[in-house]
Amino acid sequence: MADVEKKETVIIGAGPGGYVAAIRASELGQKVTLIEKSDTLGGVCLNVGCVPSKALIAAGHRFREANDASTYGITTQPATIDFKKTQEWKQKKVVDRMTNGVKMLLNKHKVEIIHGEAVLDSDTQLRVMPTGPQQFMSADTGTTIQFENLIIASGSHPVEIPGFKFEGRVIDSTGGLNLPEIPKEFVVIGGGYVGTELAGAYANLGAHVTIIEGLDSILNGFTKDMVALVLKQLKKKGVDVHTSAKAISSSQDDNGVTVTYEEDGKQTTIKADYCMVTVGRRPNTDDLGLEYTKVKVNDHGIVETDEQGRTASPHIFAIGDIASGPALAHKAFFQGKVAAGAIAGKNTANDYIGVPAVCFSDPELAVVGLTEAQAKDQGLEVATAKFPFAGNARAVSLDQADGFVRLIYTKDDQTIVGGEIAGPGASDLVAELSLAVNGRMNVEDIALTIHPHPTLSEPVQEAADIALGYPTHI
Amino acid sequence: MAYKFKLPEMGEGITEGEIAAWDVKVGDKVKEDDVLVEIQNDKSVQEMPSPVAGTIKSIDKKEGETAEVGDVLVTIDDGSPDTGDDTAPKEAPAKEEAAPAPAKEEAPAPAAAPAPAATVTAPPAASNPNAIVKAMPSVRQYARDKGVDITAVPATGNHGQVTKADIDNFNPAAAPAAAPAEKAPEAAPVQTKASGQAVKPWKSGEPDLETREPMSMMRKTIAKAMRTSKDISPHVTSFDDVEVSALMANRKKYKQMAADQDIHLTFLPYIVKAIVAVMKKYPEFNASIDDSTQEIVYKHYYNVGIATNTDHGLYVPNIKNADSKGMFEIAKEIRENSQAAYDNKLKADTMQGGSITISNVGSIGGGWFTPVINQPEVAILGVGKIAKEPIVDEDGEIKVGNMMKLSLSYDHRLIDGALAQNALNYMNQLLHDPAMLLMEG
Repeated sequence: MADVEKKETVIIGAGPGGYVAAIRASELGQKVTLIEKSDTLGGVCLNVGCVPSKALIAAGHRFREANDASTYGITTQPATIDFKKTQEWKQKKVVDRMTNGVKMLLNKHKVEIIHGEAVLDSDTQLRVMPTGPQQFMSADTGTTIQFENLIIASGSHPVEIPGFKFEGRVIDSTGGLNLPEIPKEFVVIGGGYVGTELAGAYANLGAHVTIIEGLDSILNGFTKDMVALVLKQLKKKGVDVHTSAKAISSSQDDNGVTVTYEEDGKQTTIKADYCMVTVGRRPNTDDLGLEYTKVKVNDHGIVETDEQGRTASPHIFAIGDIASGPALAHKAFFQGKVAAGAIAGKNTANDYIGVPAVCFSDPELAVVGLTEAQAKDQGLEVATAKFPFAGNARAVSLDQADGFVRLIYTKDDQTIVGGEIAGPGASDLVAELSLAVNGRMNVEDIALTIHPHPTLSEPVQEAADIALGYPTHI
Repeated sequence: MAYKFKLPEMGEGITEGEIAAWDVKVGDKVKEDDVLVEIQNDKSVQEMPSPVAGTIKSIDKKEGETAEVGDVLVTIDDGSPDTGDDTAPKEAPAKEEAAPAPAKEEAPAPAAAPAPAATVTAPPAASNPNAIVKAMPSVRQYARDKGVDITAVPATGNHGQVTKADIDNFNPAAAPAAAPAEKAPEAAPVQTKASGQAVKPWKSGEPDLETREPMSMMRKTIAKAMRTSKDISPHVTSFDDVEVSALMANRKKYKQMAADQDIHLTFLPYIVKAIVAVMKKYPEFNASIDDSTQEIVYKHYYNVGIATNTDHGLYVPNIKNADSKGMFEIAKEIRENSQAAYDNKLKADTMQGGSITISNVGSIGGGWFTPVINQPEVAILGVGKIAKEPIVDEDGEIKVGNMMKLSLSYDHRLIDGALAQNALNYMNQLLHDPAMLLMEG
């Protein structure tokens, strides 16, 4: 049996939740050990998620604009793209830079980093196994660590569906981000955030894309008029969208993959270069040895916690994709700080009122708090106010005047309970609405705050003016 | 539309009231300012006028029930079109939902309704999980740090925002039942405003031999008032006794004359007159201290409070302008106030603006005691029984004297010991020789 090392605060997983928790715990005076199974830090988000996908989306926009700027009187030779260079830029200048940044920050905060897979033995002890073929390991392989506090931030992984095993040309989102070439024909199964974002990006890069979605709408959960704007843009790019459609099977050879799906009782096949399956993610809680602890996990693989992220084992915390709430990096950041604070004896709590969510589609969609329907379901009497980007000089000057800002607020005292933005800059603009929702501000607070002109932020103030009954630019 | 009349804020620290009596019933038509309900709170009964005219649709609290500030008491159909917003105060801008046109109609403000119904900031009902607590994230953190359940904190900020000051000023003891413990494996210790110290739960080893019942609103009010007074004023009590044979003779002489006018003449009117004379000579006894400005406030009115015990609590109605009233008039008023107290009909203003208080335990056989000052006054006179006792008179003879026991508690911040004794000596002279009362009173 290997020696037992004693540690103060141990964190499993160096994704957004884990590395932020590590930094905060260190700032609060704890000795922190971070265990990460992959070679790089930053988790899915930085390596194979949010960040690289934004890089590809940006490249797609540049390519499209390079080819079609006639609106502005610009004509060019057809632009060409060296996708190998695009991927190299994405990896070296974006991903590596960000993950190295995380490493630097952790070093600065004197966080000890161990690479390996953590498996719990009990409520106070875990073993770190070297990653690699299991058959070379014996009972005493790895390092045993006794911890005073543990934060589990093990993240999630893509879900497979029958008939579409991830191999070769059937790929998950990671594969979708790392394609060696721009496919001519690209099939995306699952039209959620990830699927829709990458479908749009590859369409901008010149691929013919087909989205196959099981539900009756892509981007399910967003309000219909927001989704309609995205569908309009997808159509413009030549993307075929099939909803209420079921992916049946796939077969592949050296040249491509054939995808069979069923729509309206009729089966159709598409021959494509790649088929990406993005139908959801499952928490990484099956192989952590949680069964040897008091920690409780529900049927969806989510760890049950209290408001501070504390599990049934009081010195073990769960944050991020394995904890309750949306599987979003910024929620994991918040939960990581709360858990680190709780360990330090602070009265932190995950008492956020709304978690913003962003889809980097064309146009961008961003929401926070409650939709009108959700508010009504909760028994709130709400009204809405909507201002279109068509009335905004900046949006018009960008030639991106499709979309709107909508405020959802209580009728009695006009407290803002939700916000929706579809349009240019939505991903950044939603921060103001998040402040309003989480601060329980009212429409008057927004209306009486000067917004700079001419900017995309003005429609937020305009919507508040509408709510008060004094619209200006409409 | 249905107007929901909620229990408005009734003054400092009052968070609840008991429905004393309904003046309306379902189906009644009411005009604006008609009295809807009488609310018993903090020792007084207040009449609540209707801010709107209409028909009583439903009565939402029964007589005897306790309502918290913000609770709906009665629903009035005021006949206006239903906007779907049935709790909106009338002066809220009538706004069309997301109206694209600036056409906007403002309902006229209601004619100065005496009940401040529109300014009520109701504490959110914690029983409703969807109730919105309006507070910035930093304020929510502050509440957690202070161990305060923010859902129970009444808001004073703009648009009902809970501020940091609201958290500081929150007294959980004053807002009972506002916050059911959602998940309290270890009940959060109650914090008191005055000390900031946690109130420790008290348990004996014999819980089976004890019963527990919640403190009534009146008992809570008394407990708070007593503690507050002792916190504010350093109390000193001087004791004395006075030979009152002449006073007794005087009372005996005029008792029948009073009775003929349907007046019950007790010793109290004499004491009221005497205490007015004392206040005139020693104005420190008719004063209050304003701590916020470090000023002594001298009062030029003489309102003498009489502590009145009833089966539903202790009240201190005062005789207004006792200096300008005759003995019989004072006697009559004492009687009327006492009856009103018994009938639960005392008006708030009868208990406000007092100069000094008399607490009489002599009628039930008490002697000397240490009465607690009725804030913001600075003195209280305790009157005990008149006992027959041997005394040595001026000639050195032992005689039977009628000795009235006096206990004068005073606020030692303002009143020095010698001053108090001088005042008590003067009081003695006046009560010993009622003819002098006629001169000085």
